[in-house]
Amino acid sequence: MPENEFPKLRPHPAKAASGDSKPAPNSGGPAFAELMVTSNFTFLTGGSHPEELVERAAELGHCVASIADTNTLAGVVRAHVAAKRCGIPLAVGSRLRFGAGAGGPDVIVYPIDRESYSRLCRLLTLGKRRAPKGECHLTLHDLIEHSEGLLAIIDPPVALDDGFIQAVRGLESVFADRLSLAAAPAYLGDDAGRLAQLADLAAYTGVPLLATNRALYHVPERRALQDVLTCIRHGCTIERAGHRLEANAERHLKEGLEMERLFEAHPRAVARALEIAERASAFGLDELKYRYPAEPCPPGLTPTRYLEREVWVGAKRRYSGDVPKKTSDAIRHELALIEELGYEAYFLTCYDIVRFARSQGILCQGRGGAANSAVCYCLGITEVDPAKFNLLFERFVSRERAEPPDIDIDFEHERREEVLQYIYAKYGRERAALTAEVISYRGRSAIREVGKAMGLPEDCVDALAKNLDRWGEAVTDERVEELGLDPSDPVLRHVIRLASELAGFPRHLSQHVGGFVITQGRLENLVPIENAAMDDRTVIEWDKDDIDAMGMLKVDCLGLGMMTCIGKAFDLLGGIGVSGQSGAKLTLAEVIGRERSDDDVYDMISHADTVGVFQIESRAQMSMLPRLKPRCFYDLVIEVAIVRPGPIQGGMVHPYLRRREGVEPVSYPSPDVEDVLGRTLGVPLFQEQAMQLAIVAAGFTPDEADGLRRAMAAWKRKGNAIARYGAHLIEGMVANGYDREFAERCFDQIKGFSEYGFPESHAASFALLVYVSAWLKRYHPAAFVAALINSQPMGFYQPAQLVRDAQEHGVEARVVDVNESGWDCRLEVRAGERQRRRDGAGSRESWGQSGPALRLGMRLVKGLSEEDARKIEGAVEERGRFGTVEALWRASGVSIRGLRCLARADAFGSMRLDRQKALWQIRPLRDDPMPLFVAQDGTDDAGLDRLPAVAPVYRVLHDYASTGLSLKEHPVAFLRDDLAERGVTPNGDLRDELRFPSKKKVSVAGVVLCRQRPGTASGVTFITLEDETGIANLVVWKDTFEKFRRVAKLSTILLVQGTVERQGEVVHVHVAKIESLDSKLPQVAAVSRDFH
Amino acid sequence: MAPDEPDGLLIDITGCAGVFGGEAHLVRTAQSRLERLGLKVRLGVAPTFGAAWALARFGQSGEVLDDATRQALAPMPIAALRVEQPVVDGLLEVGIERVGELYDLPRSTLPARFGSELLLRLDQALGQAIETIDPVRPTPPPAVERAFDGPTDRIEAIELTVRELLEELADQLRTRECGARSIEITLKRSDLEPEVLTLTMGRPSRDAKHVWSLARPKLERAHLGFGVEAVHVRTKAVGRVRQEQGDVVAGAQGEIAPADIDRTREELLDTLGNRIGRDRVRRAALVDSHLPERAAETYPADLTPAFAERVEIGNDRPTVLFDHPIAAEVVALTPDGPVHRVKWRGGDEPVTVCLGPERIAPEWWRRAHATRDYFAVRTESGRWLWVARGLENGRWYVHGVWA
Repeated sequence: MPENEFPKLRPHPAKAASGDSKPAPNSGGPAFAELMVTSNFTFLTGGSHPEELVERAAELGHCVASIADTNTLAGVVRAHVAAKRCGIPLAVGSRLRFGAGAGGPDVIVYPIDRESYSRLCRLLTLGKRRAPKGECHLTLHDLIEHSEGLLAIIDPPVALDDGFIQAVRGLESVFADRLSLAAAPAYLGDDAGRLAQLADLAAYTGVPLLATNRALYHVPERRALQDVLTCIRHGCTIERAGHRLEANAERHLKEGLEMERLFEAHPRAVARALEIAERASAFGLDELKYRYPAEPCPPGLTPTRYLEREVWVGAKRRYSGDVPKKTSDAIRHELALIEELGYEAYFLTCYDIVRFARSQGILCQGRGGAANSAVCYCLGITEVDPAKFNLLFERFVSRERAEPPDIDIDFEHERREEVLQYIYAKYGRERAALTAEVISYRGRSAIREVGKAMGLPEDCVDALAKNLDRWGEAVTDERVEELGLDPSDPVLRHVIRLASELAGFPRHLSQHVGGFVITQGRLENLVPIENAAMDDRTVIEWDKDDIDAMGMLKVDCLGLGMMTCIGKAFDLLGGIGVSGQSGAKLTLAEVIGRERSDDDVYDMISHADTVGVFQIESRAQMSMLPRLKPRCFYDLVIEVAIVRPGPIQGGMVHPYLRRREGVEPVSYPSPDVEDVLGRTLGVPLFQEQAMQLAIVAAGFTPDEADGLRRAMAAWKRKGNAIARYGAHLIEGMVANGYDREFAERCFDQIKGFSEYGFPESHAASFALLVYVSAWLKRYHPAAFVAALINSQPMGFYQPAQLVRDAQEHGVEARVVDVNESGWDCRLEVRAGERQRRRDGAGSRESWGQSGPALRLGMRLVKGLSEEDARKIEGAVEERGRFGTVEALWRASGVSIRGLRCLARADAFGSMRLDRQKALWQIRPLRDDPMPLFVAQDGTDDAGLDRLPAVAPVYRVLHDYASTGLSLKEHPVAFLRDDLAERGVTPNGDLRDELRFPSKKKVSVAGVVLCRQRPGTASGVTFITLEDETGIANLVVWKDTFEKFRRVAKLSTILLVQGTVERQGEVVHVHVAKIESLDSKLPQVAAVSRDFH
Repeated sequence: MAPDEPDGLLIDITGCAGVFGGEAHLVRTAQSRLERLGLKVRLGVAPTFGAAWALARFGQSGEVLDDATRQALAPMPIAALRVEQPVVDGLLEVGIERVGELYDLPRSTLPARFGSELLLRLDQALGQAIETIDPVRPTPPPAVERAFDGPTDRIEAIELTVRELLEELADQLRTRECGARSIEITLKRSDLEPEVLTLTMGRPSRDAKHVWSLARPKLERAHLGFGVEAVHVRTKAVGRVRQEQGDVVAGAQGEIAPADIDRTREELLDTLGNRIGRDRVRRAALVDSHLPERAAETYPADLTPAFAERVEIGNDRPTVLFDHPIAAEVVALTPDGPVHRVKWRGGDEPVTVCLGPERIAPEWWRRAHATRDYFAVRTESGRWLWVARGLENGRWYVHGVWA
C-alpha cells in the first residue's frame, strides 16, 4: 500500500532525481580499472554503496567501473544505473567464496556475454537453493561446471602453500587465458616481497598477474565505518577487534597514476587489469532480454485476440449487453495501447490470477494506475466502474515512459498464500519468484549497532535509540544533552556520525510482501534466486526498484485484512440466507451496484459513525467526515486521500474544506487547470494531479513530470533537485501567463506530496472497500462485527469497542459459551422473532434490532488454542449440548489448559456454572487420566455451594482479563460513585450542547480505546476514552502530553480535566491535566493498547 | 534453629522463654539485637512453626500467639500457609483468598484439586500434623595452639613448632575439604603484646609446605622479645578445595600438567606477594592491536583475564621498543622509501637493507595521531632498526631495535 511505504533513507539510484550532476571524469593520467570491488551488498563488509563506488571510479578516470560482491548480484542493478548515468562502462561480477572444506581461494568472476552471465546466475542459484536463507554453499567443482565464458581472478590467501598452488593449476587448466592472479599492495611491511613471490608464482603457473587494490570503500574516509562494520560482523567492540580490523585505510579506489607507481616493478599486472576490465565490460545488464511469459490462450487465438474477446465478453456482462459509448471508446483506446506496447500477456496474467481467486471463493480486487481502466473493469480485476463513477485515469499506461503497467491485487490476507502457491504451480519455480526487499539500517538500528560496537553502555545506546525519530532525523547536541549525555564526548560523536553514515546501508535481503516476477525463460538466467525464510517461497536477489530499472514486470499480490473481513461477512450473510440476486454469495460488485447518492450509507458516514469501516475509522478521519459530508463515491475517494500526511503538510485540506463548504469561491486560473483540478475544486489532492499540473500549466514534458515525481519522493535528501524543478515549474507557469503567487502556492503544495502523495488510482479502489464495509456496517451490523472480530488483528479497534459499537446499533451480543460458540463469532437467529429483512430507516440504535444476534466466538478467549476450540465445536455438533464439564471433556478430548481458559472466560454458563464453579469442577481433572480420578463421576458437586461469593466488579474484571471485554457491565460503571464525587461528567452527557458549550471546563474519565498520533498533526495526540455512557474524544497538545508522558502513554484508564471544544457535531475535550486510574481496575489495565 | 530459605529462620524456643523473661520479652530482645546488626526483621511466635511463619509475614511483627491459632489464621491470605504460588493462584481463581474460607470446604475435595501439600500445610499450621526442623550448629574455624614449657627465644624451636602446627592445620582443612585463604600466626610473647603474622594466599591452600615457605621469611624477621610462651595458628578465611586427582601419566612422562603450572604460578605469586605486597606484583600480556606501543600491557597479577582472548602477534616486531621514539634524520628517495641513511643518537650510517613500508593507521576511536609508515632497516654495521615516518608531518624517528 503506498501509504505504508516508508521513504527510503537512501533512494535507489534509479529513483534519485535524474538531473544530478555527473561527476567530472578525471581525464588526465594513465588508465586503470579496479576489478576487486566489494560494496555494502556484501553485508557488514563493504563500506560504500555501489553507486558511490561507481561514481568514484568515474571521477578517478577509471576506464571501467566494476562490482563483485560475495556470492551475490544483489547490488549490480544499482551500480548499473549509476554507471549509465556517469557514462562509464561497468563490469558486473561476483566474488565466489567457497565453503570451508570445499577448498579453494576466493575467485572473482566476470561474465563476458549473456550466456556466461546466465551461467553465473545459475551457479549462484545452485549455491543458494541448497543453503539456508542468506547463505550460499559452493564448491570449486561447481565453479568449474559453470566456468564457460567466465573470466576469473584468484584472490590469493596469506599463505601461498602447496594447496593453493594446486588450486591455481586446477583452475588454470579450466579457465586458460581467462584466469588471472590478483596482486595487491597492502602496505603490510613486505609488499615488494609479496609481489615478487606472486610474480614468481604467476610465471611458474602461467597465470598472468593482475593489479588490484581489493577495494572495500570508495574513499579512505570510510575506514572508520568499515572498521565498525567488521565489529558488528564479529560481534565485538572496537577496543577488542584488534587484528580483525584492517591496519590502515588503503583499501579504497586509487587512480591510475598511483597504481602504476605501486606496480612499478610489475607493469604488466596493470595492463592485465585493463585487458580483463575491457573483456568483462563487453557485457552489460542492458543486454538482458526480459520476456514476459506467454499466457496460455485457447487454440487458434493470439493473446491479443484472446484478451480482446474476454474484454468484450466482460463488457457485455457488466453492462447487460449495453456498453455505453464512452466505455467502449475507452476499451478500444486501451486495447490499442496494450497491443502497441505488448502488454497483453500481463493483463491476461492478472485476469487469470483473479479468475483463480474467484474460483476458490477468495475475495480480491486490483488497484493502481493500470487496474482502474475500462479493460480491467471488464475483466473483473477491479469493481470500480469508470463510467459510473466518472473517474479519470491518466496514469493507465504511458506510451512515453517505458514504465511497466502497475497492477496491485489485494486478496483476503488469510488466504493469499493459496494464490501465491497457484502462481508458483502455474509458472513453475524456475519462472516465478517473489522480489526481494532490501532491509536497510535506519536511524535506530544504526545507532544501536554502532553504539554497541563502539562499546557505549547499553542504557546509553538504548536512550539514544529510543529517542531517535524513526526516520533518522538529524541528531543535534541539544537532543543528546536532553538525554543527560555529553555531546562533546568523542566516542559519542563517533557513534552519531558513523550511525548516520550507516543509515541506509543494506543489512539483509527479505522478501517483498507480494511482488511476483514471472519470466518466459528460466528466471535463474536473469538473476540469482534464493530461498526465503518461509517454506515454499523463493525470492530473487533484486528488489522492486531494481526490477523497475531493468524493465521487468511484476504482479503485486498483497494481503488485505479488510478483504478477509468482507469475505467473512459475505459468508456469514450467505449462511443466514442473505445473498446476491443469483442466490449465490454476495460479491463486491453487487454491493457497489447498490450505491446511490441518497443512500443511508452516506448518512452514516457523514455522522462519523464509522468504527470498523475500512480506512475512515481513525480519529483524524472521523473528525473530517462531518465536515466533508461524503455524498457520492468520489467523495469517498477524496476522503481516503485527504487525511494523509501529503495533503496535510501541503496545506490543502483546509482550502478544500472551505471550498466544499462554500465559504471560499472555487476558481481556476485557466480552463486547462480546471480540467486537471476540477474534480477536487481547484485544490490538488492526488499525486497524479501534481504531475498533470506541471504538464498543462508549466509546459513540462511527461518525462520531466516523472522526474518531478521522483524528486518529490526524494527531496528531503536531495533538496537541490526539487528546488531546480521548483524554479522550472514556477518560471514555466509564469511564462504561461499564470500568477506568480499561484505558481508558488502550487509548488508548495506539490512539495507537500513529497513523502506521502496518495495516488488517485489507489484511492479509488480503497474507496470501494470503504463503501462496501460501510454498507455492511449499516445494513448488517451483526455480520460486520462478527467478521471484523474473526479477522483480528486488524484495524484500529479492539473487540471490546467493536462489540460495544455493535450493541449501540441494536445488535444483541451473546457471551462465549462452550455449548453455543464456535471458534469464530457466529450469527444466531433471535428467538421468538422471525427475522425480517428491512433496509429501512430508523435511528442508529435500531439498525441491528431486526437482524440476527452476535454469538461471540471462542477465539476471544485468551490462551485457548484453536485446536481445542475446534474439538469442542466438533463434539457439540456431533453429540449435542453437554450438561457437565466432565462429559464435554471426555467427549471432545480438549486439554485441561483449554478448559481452564474457557472457565476463566466464563464460558460454561449453559451448564449453570459461573467462572468460579467451573474452575472448581475442572480442578480435579487431569490431561493424563489416572484411574483414581476417572472413577470419580462428574456429578460430584461437593463444595460447589460452599465457595465464597464473588463481587460483581470482580466478575467484570475477570471478563476483561480473560476475553478483553465484558457483556455484563462497563468497568468504569463501578467507579461511577467515586467519579461523581470528584465532579466527573459521564461521557454521554457531553453531547448536550446546552450544558456543555465550547470552552466549558470539564472532567471526564474512561478506558482508553485508542491513542493516535498522526505524523502530521504537529505532535497532537488523539485519545478516545470510553465509559458506560459513551465515548469522549480527547485532544492532547504536545506540551501537555510531554508533561504527563508516562501516564498519557501507558495508562489504560484515565481521568482528565480540560475544556470542551465544539465544531458542528464533533465534540472534543482539550486536555490540561491527566491522571491514571489504572490502580483501581488493574485487570482492565492489563488489556493494553498501543499507539496506532 | 534452622534456616528457612530464602529469607527466614525457624527457632524452637520451647522451654527457653522463661530464661529470657517470657516470650514477649524474648521477642523484643531478639528484635533489637538483630536490628543492631542492620537487619530488618519480622518476628512471630506461635504454637506451631506454620502459624509462627504466617504471623511473622502476615501478622503484626512481634506478635505472640498462645492458643486460638485457627481464628488467628482465618483472615490471612492463602500464601500464609507456605504453599506454592500455583496453588494460591488456583484457589484465588475459585474465589478463595483467605485461610478461613478453606475451613468451610469439605476436606476431601481439596487434594484432588490442589494437591496434598495444601492439607498438610494447613494441618501443620493448625497443629494437627507434626513438623520438625533440622537445626544447624556452628563450626569454629580450624585453629591449633601449642604452649612451650616456658618462654623460649630459640628460633629453631619456634620454627619447628610452627611447621608442626601448620601440618596439623592442613590435616584439619583436609577433613573439611577446604583450604585457607588467610592464616594468622600469633606468637604469644611474655610481657609483650603478641606478635601477629598474617599470610594471605591467592587461592585456598592446605599445602603445609607452601604455607611454611610463606611463613618462614616473616618468622625470621619476627621480634621474639623476652621469649615466646605459646604459638597459636588459626585460619582467618577459608575457601573450598576439592580433592584433585593428579595426572599420573603426564607426571610419568616428565610433562607438567596444566594444573601444576597454575599451582606453581599461584605459589610464586603468594611468595612474591607476601614479601613485597600483593598489589605490586603485575603480569604482562599481549593486547590485540595493530599499534606497536599498545600491543602489550601489564595488569595486577590477581586479576585473571575474564576470558582467554585470541591475540595475533601480526608482523615481526623489534625486540626492544622505545617508550619514547627517538627522533632521527633519514635520507630516503621517496616518502614510500627505500631508506638510504639513518642518523640518530649521534650515529650516522648508510642503510644496506630496507623492508617496508608497513603502514599503520591510528586507532581513530582514541585520541587520533597520524598514520605512520614503518621500515625495518639494516645499517652498515649490521644493526636492524625500526624506523618510522609520520605521514602528516613527514618526521622520522626510530621506534625500536632488534637486539
